[in-house]
Parts: sequence; C-alpha cells; structure tokens
Amino acid sequence: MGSICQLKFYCHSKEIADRISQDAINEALRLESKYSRYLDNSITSQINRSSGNKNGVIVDEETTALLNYADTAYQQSNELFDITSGVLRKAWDFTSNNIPTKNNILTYLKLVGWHNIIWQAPKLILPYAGTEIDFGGYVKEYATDVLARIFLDSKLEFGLVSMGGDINVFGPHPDGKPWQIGIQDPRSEVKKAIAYINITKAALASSGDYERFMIVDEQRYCHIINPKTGWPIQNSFASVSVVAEQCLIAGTSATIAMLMEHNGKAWLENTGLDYLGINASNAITGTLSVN
Amino acid sequence: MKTNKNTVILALTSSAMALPAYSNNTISYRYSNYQEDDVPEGRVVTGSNKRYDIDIHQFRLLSELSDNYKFGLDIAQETLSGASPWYTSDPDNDGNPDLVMSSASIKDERTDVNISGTYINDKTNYTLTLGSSTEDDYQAQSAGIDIAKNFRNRTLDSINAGLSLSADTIDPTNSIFLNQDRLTEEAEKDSLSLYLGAGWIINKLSTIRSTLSYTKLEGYLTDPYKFLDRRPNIKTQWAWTVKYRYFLTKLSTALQTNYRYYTDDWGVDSHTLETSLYTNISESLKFIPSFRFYEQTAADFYRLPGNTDGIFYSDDSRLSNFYAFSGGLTIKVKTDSITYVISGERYVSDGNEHQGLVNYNTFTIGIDYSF
Repeated sequence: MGSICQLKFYCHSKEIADRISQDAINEALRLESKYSRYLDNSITSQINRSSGNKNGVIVDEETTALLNYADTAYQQSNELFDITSGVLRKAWDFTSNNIPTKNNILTYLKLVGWHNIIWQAPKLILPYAGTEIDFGGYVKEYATDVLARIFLDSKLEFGLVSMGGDINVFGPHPDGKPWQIGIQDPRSEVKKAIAYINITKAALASSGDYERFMIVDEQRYCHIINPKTGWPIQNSFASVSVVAEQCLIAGTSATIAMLMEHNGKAWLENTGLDYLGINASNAITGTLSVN
Repeated sequence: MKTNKNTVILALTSSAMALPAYSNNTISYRYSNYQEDDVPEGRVVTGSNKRYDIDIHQFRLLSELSDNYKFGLDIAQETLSGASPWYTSDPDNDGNPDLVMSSASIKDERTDVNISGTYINDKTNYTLTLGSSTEDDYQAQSAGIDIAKNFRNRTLDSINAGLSLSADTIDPTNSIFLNQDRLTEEAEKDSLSLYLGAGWIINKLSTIRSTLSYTKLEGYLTDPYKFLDRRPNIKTQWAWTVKYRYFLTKLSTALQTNYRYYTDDWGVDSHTLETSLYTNISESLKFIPSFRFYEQTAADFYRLPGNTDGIFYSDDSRLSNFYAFSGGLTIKVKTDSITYVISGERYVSDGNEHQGLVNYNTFTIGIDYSF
C-alpha cells in the first residue's frame, strides 16, 4: 500500500496471534495486488487498459461495491470526490517546481469526470481513451476497515490497525484505556506529532497538503487537485483528521473537506463527525479534544 | 461523537454497507430432507412400512442493529409424511415383537417462529427469546432469558445463566391411531428449564465450556398417538455438557468434541459423544466431518408387549435401551458475501429387538448472505 502498516493488538495465544496477523497481512496484500495502479495485473490496470473500448470490463462484487461507493461520494461532494481525477498527476510534477501550462492542464482535465463513465454494475465502460480510474483515494481506508474486521471476527477485541496514518481502533487496551493517536504536524520537516487524540473504538483518517507539494513564488501547490479546475486546492486546511465509525467514511470525509477549500470547515461541521483541523499557521480547530 | 449525522454521511455509510467488511446482517436459508429407513420386511403387522419423510425449510435473520443491540428471527416450516409405530405386538409368538403402524397418509405441517433480542452492555449480554410453534394438533409458546458475561483474556473466559418456560397444548386430530385412553379435550404440558454455564481458556490453543441444566415438565406427557402408552405427568431431567475445542495451527483445523450426560426420573440415562473437525482447505472452502455416538438406558416403565400391567407403560422405542452412531459431512464454500452450505448425515440405531428403532439419512443445502 506504499506506506507503513501496523497491527497492534492483544491476544492470549501467540499461535493464534501469528495466524490472525498473517490472515490480515494476506488480506492487505490481496487488496494491494487487486487495486494498485502500479501493478499490471491489478483490476485498476485492467480497467484503465480498457479505456476507449466500448465493451468495457466486467467487475466482481467487491469492485462493484467500491465503484458504487465512489459514485455516492461523487454525488454527495458536489462532484469533487472523483476517482477519474488521477490523470491530472501527469500535468503536475511536484519535484519539478514548475507550474504546468494551461494547455497542459486542459489536456488532462478533459479526461476527468466520473459523469463521463458508463457504470452499470457489473459493467464499467471508460468511453474516452486515456481516461483512468484510481482507487488510491480510498482503498487504503477500506483496507484498514477490512483488517479491523478480521480481528473482530476472530473475537480479538483490543487493538488497532494502522495503514500509513489511516487507523481503525477496533477496541481499547484490555483495561479499557484508549489508544493515543498522534496527529502529524503538517508544517514540520520531520515526522512529529502536533497533538494526540484518545480513541477507544473508532476510526481516524487524515488528509493534508503536506504529503506531496511544491512551493513556487511562496505559494504552496499540493497533490490534492480540484477535478473541476485541474488546479491544486487553495485556502483549505493544512491538514484535517476525521473520526468516524468506519475508516472509509473518515477518509472520504477528510478528503472532501480538503477539496471543499474554504468551505471545508463548514461542510465538516455539518456532517456531525468529530474532526481536528490544522490551518496553515498550525492553529488547531475542531470538535476533538486533544492532549 | 455527535449522533445526528447529516445526509451525506448517511448516504456514504449506506453505500459502504454493501461491502462485506461492513455487513451487519446475515440472512440464511436451509432446506433439509430427513428420511427414515423403511421398517424391515415382514416386521409390520398392519399399516405401512414407510416411515417418516420430512421436508424442512428454515429462514434466519441475524442483525446487529448497533454496537449494543442484536436481533434474531428464525422461521421454520416443516412438512411431515409417513407412518409411525402405533404399538408393538407379537402375533406369531416368535419372541420378536413386530410393529403395528399407522397409515402412511398422515401428513402434518408445523410452523415455528422464534425471535430474540440481545442487549450488550460493557461485557454483559442480556438475551430475551420468544417462540411459538403451531401444528394441527399441537401448539407451544415459549419464552427464555439468558445473561452472559464475558471476561475475555482471563482463564475464566465467560459465564452464563438462563431460564426458559414453555406452555404446550395438545389436541389430537381425528386420527384413528390414538392412545387407548383417548383425550376427550385439550391437554396441556408445561416446562421450566434452568441452566448455568462457564467457559475457560485452558492454554494457548484450547478452550472448554461446560453447562449444567435442570428441566421440569408437568402435564400430559404421554404420547397421544401411541396406543398402549401411559406415562407419568411429571418428569425431572438434568443434563451436563462439556465442549472442548482444540486448534491445530499447522493444519488450520479446529477439533471440537462435545460430551453430554443426561438423566431423568423416568429412569433414562444417556451419554452422547460428538466430534467435529473444522478444516480450512482453502480461504473459501471448509470441510467439516463429524461423528456422534449415543447410548441410553430404558425408562423404568418401558416394556415390549407381554406384560402391560403397572401404572405406567410404554413400548415406544425412543424410551428403550439402545445405542446409535451417526456420521456426516458439511461443506462450506465462501464467496464475497455468500456462503453455500451442503451437508449429509447417516444415523443408525440398534441395541434391542424393537423394530421401531430408527435409521435415517438427512441431506441439507443452504445459503448465508451477509449484507
């Protein structure tokens, strides 16, 4: 999944712990090989190779549910959460320190738009050659939930799954004490926490402008790109962390809050979910209490 | 966390529920056929030698309404046809009693409905169950409560206690194959059951559970379709079960062995020993072979015909001294949200000359769907 993954849990038997950890790891590997856009045999690559082909591809039950979810997120986010927006990364090279030209952006922007996709489960058609879909915006959060479910189904009720910062705490420490989850300082050059949140049983996901970015003429351009304009978001949180029952919901909400730019805070307040937002000056807001 | 999520979150959550990782509900269906072997040739005095053939349809819904509430619904519909032993008789005086059977045109239907609700608070589960069973000549209403406390990660893993009550009404239909003391009006049977159980973690790979139960039945306990039967109107029974589970890590297999001891004040004592092997052939394929041995002593008032004196009497093979073996196999195939189940079992009983001792086959197919 391209990030550090951790399983922390309590179990009375090492043999059982080893077996269930292996089940969880196998499941993470399964999802990676199924949905990674970097692997030729993944469903994502198969779908993207079919772009321009009127026959499309037939997808399985799990992929159907993930595409339906992406469709719902698209509808519920004023069309900002768009899994076809990944092609825009070809216009924006954050290692180059160069802003792409308008034409460069338009070349890829015209391939963006979930409304252009023909999705009639289980058949997916990408009518225009060059269109791509990318599950990367939410499959890691989904995987976090899947792994947490493996522990719960095995009757292990104390622990958490962390996939590169997407976290599902499926139970507290056995004495009932919460896990302390660190929130990354979005402006620190080294990895350090700016605050800690206590979680007993919930999921947390974060989105921010600090993972991949460049600063040109004192302006920050980050990897979160508005699918309608083709430009990186501006006037948004530096980072936002959302708590929800499922990591998938937390992650989608954090991403949408960032994409909403200056409307993000109001949008997030409206959802009723607990969140922690950090602005460009590292001021902390939100409904979550921090340590 | 605030509880009034707005419509966006509700829409996303609803959409996510289609993914197997988030399923909170399971709906299951099973079709079973139970078929008893015919009575051996020449061992029927009158009536049919074709014994019971039962078709059963079962539906189950299990729902996790929230972290604290669970709900269950079970509906079973059974159609029974076939003859049953009415009484035993030895007309040729060869010392081997034969069966006088009812006719095979008996057809009976039964519908069972059970609902249960569980409230989970901290580590304690409180469950209430209500049930109703209806057939042409029989009605039963039941209610039960169970309290289970989970300690988790301690040697004493859980304890539970429960109570259940049942009130049954018997009203034999216009059959000619009735008890000689025909019921002239409805008869009733009530039962009360209490039990106490506990579970322990023995070591890294094994657990054990044990339950002790006490049941008292009162009312009309005679079989209204057995000609000669006269049974007491009170019965007290005790049962003690032990369930042992052992996990064979390298084989990805779990061994489960259950033992049950039963005794009642009618004189019946029984032992049941059952073993199953839950074997994961692959991630989606499970094989579960199982084997069971059963043995019981006869009720004090059980006799084959010759001497029907005494206040109480029965020639029902189910109250005789006998033993039984059964073996079966269940196969489960799992896809994303659906599990397919197929199973079969063969049961044979022996131990005395009663021709009413039954051998049977059962066959089941079914499906579980998570959503």
